[in-house]
Amino acid sequence: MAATRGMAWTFGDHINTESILGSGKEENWGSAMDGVLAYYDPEFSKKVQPGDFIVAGRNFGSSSGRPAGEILRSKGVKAVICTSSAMVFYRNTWNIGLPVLQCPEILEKVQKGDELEVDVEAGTIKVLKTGEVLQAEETPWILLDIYRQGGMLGWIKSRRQEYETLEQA
Amino acid sequence: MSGHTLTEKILAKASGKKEVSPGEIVIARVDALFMHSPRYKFKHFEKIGGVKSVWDGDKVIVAVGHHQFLPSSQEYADAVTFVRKECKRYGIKHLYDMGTGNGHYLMLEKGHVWPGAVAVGSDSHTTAYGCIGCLASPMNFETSEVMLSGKAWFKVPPTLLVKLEGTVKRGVSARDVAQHVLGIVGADGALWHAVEFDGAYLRRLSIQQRMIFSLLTTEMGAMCGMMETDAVTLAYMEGRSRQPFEPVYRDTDARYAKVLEIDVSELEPQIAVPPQPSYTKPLADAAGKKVQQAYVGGCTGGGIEDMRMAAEVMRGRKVHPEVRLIVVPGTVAVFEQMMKEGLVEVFTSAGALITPPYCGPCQMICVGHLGEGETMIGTHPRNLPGRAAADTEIYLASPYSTAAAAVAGEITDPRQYL
Repeated sequence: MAATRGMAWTFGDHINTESILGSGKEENWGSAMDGVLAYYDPEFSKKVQPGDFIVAGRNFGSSSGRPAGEILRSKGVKAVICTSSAMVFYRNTWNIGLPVLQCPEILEKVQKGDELEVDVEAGTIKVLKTGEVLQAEETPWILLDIYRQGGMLGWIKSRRQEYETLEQA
Repeated sequence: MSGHTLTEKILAKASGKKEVSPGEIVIARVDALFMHSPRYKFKHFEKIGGVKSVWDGDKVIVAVGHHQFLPSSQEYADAVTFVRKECKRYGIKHLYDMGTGNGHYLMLEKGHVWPGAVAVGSDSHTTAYGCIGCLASPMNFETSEVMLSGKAWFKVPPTLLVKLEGTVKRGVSARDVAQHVLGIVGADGALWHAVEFDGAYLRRLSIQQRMIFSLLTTEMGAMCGMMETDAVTLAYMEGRSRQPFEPVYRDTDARYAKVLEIDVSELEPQIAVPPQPSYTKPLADAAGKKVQQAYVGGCTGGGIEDMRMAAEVMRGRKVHPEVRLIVVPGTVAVFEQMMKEGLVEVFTSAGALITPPYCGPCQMICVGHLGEGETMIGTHPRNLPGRAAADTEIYLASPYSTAAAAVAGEITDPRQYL
């Protein structure tokens, strides 16, 4: 998949999943779509554009294991790039088909509104205003496999014959 | 060649390898899969198509009564009806229904996990079962895949060893110690790590009190929170485990990323202040803060000893007129034991409200919502933004301190009531 360009929305450390998708809203987003990350940046939910990126600090997506990445994808977010990601958020979000790149220096190099070019397969983030290319940590091979199939559901379907629990065509 | 940690040894065994090292990706067989709200996972099955059954109906455990003791809305009632039907359809044998209790306590109490097992769960506090030497780790979206394959992948974590020595002072509980450790390690101090606990203090605790430590490792970012099997574990497992098991022990020359040695002897009561479970302070720093709701229960306060500690403070006293004290037993067995010991009467005569067993108002999704501007103190694990209405504050502390705040109407040192 080719590199994509978009604008960066920046957040700090320890952004928790409840502030992305509130408790009890997992199956009925309703008002949750307007409240995404509002605790940290009330502008985000109103102004985020399809193709934009979330850039954040340490431990992004901490706390509850709810698949909060789904509501970020619905807001049009193309990838999350953070200093480090909470484990369940990271696994969930790749499995949804939305990449999370861990890049320790990202917040030092990127400011809100900067345009970025992100290549998920290569794990690179180009900051267009400076031309600098940042390298993210290696993504586990299994998650890249899943991502290439569009997420977990596509990955299961592509390996259907490996499951005794599935009817075979 | 150096030895291996408990986590490494369980992962090696479950993935059919001789040994594993941090950073490696392994695919392990799963012995137990815990879920409380699997509705959307069954929707995944519809999208995949042709799902015959889960891989092993005996190893999938669904606790629909975890978040709500009775459906609080039509929507939830419909979701639960759907889940019951789908569990039957896919051969899931263990469904804990409304009013049975908090799923994490049930997983241990009902023998669904055992020493040396690998468990995964859709709840982030699945780390809980590490207290019996089971490798237990949260994963959510992927549990749909685990239901089909009976396997899960892990990135072998580096391990942090926490050794707890000494004897606590009167009025200081396991929660105070666990809260203190969480404060030292921090919200991401064990990110993608395993945490293993040991030490004379820990080995004197019951399984339910040890669970506070394993469960709270999630709040440090950990993959799992482990303890070695000992005589306390084996006594607890007696007649409980659904499968014969072989405990796994760590090598004496295991390699740790970091070792933390803590003497608990001088520790004072602790409290977590908003908005992070890891923001630990001495309770004295928050003294005088008015509370409107106090809550004894949740995954880190619903055990029988938690109930005893809270009752010790409440015996012969009244809940402050401007406070609601909510007591939530972890399971029906905990509730029954409370009745036997006369604790129910202690709480009701003090003016507390006892709910049926469930996870409690840790998230405001069943009952016990906070009103605007209100403050709650509780024994539960979390106080983050988004768990209650905006403009509310949540403090986390021991059952002693929570009950003491219910009596005083404000956060106060519980030892004056003991």
